[in-house]
Amino acid sequence: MMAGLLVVLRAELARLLATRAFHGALLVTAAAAAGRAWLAATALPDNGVDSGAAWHGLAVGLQSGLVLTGFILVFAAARGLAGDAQTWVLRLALTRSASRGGVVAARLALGLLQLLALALSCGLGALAGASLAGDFGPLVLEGYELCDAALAREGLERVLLAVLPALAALYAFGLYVSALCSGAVQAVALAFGLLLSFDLFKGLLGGATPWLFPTHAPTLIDTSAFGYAVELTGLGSSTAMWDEAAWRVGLASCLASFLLLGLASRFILGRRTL
Amino acid sequence: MTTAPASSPLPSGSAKTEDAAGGPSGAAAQGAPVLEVQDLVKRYPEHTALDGVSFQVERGQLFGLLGPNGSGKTTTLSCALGLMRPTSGSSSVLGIPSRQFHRTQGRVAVVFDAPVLLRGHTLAANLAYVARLRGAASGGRGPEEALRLVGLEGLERRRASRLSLGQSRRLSIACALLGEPELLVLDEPLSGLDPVGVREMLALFARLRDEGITLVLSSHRLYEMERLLSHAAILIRGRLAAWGSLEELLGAHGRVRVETPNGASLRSAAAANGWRLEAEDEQRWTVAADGMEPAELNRRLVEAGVPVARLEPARQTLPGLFDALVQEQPREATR
Repeated sequence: MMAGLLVVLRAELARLLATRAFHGALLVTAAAAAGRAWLAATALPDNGVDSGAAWHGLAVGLQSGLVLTGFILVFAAARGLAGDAQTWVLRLALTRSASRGGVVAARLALGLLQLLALALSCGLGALAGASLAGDFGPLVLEGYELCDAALAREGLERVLLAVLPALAALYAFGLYVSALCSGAVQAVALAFGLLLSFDLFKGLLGGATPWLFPTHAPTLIDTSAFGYAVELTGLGSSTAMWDEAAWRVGLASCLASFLLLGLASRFILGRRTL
Repeated sequence: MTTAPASSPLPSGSAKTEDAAGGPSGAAAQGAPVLEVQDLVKRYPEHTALDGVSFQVERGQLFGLLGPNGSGKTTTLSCALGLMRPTSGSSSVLGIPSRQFHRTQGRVAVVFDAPVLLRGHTLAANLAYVARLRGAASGGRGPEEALRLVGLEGLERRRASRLSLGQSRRLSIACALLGEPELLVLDEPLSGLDPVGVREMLALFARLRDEGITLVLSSHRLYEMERLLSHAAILIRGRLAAWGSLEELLGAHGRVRVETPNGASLRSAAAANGWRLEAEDEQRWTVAADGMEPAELNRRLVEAGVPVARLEPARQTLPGLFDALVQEQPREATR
């Protein structure tokens, strides 16, 4: 069912690494995260924060960088299959050694690798920007310690664990739209159009919202766990704000969406003339 | 020329056995046709692209899939390569059903009718990409040799987006030459090439044939194909119009060259019998009478009062055969 997964993954990975646009994406993500982290950490002492401003910078930098990461992933996924089908590059794999299932599985794996690379780049950028403007000590506001460094770090780790699966699901969504469309431009436009619409109207969905993966992804109208991280590190809010049940629902919905969208992409690609 | 209905079953010798996993056993795969399509039908809501096409390509053949634009050549190849689902019928490559084409594991190389390249990458990166996609199949021809064979040596670092159409075509062929393909499928490989390029590619194809590689070429460039092919199938409007060795297809069957001092009597005999005439001059003619032996044709001419000074079998040309088949449509397809 997934014949040629490793073969296609190896070929696509080498292709990705030789692509200037990917290097550019890594740099832009790192620069955006660093810039936002620096600005946020620099502004915090004006609000009475005596120590630990770098945690807030890191949270804001990560938030900005991962919003960008989400856009890049959706763009790459949506453009990938549809663009390669349009230019027949997909045929090169299908007439060598890969099945259609193998091609989709390889693209999903490639997406996860892209996500890790972009998240790492974003994390390093945010870390650098935050370090330049503040320290990673306990968060002290006007002489009072609001939270210690361990708590701030733990909070950020939780948030990252909540958000990364949502970004993976976002990539799978892009891939699904890509499998549906006959051209790269159409696929990219449709994927961004749908996500933007969801972002704009998610407030109307009420109780269903936590079950939908884009809710948990950092987007322009961010309802992801980063809201918690920014509050925690900026204002020293209590960890009681962390909703464990919502986190579990988010994790489950993101992982399920990733798998289901992957299977749906395989199903659609299997029925297309390529 | 021999005849067969478009949807005729394949010879019984083409039957193959499959192992428990649904694939061909080693021995069966060895003996199986390199490429086989059987009763292939592809229907769209508005038209039928393929209508019961059947033919086989045996190992070592230089096989031409010929036909005018829109005759179904690319559709046939797309079905055979597993890129398109036929409405009905079946096909296999190297004994492996087309729906499991990936199991050919790099033993087949394909050049599509438009160059398929990673435009933003160098020639070397394009070749490396295709080489990686070959997966388990390793060894054989490397990138340098492949580029040299198509006349692109020294351009490894150039970006594919900066190649001309002819050069892009050559790069596609170079990608297909990587490794040791047993079957090379080339869809319109000569389009976009200048006359020198066409000559070089024809020489390359002949050389590959001599190396024992089976080649399937789809083309509508009949003059070039006639010099090259060992076998051909001709598709016209989605139907198999002719299939066989070039020797069979272009043989003297039903075509004679006649010399007569009385052209007028020959013209009236041809009109009366429905024969086609091609005049070299007023005394030398080629008479095409489908399916008729030269001796029978001679008897009929004499009976019709045509003074025959000389009569000899005339070899058909591929363009001539092609024209005749096009004119015959929608009559029953021929083999």
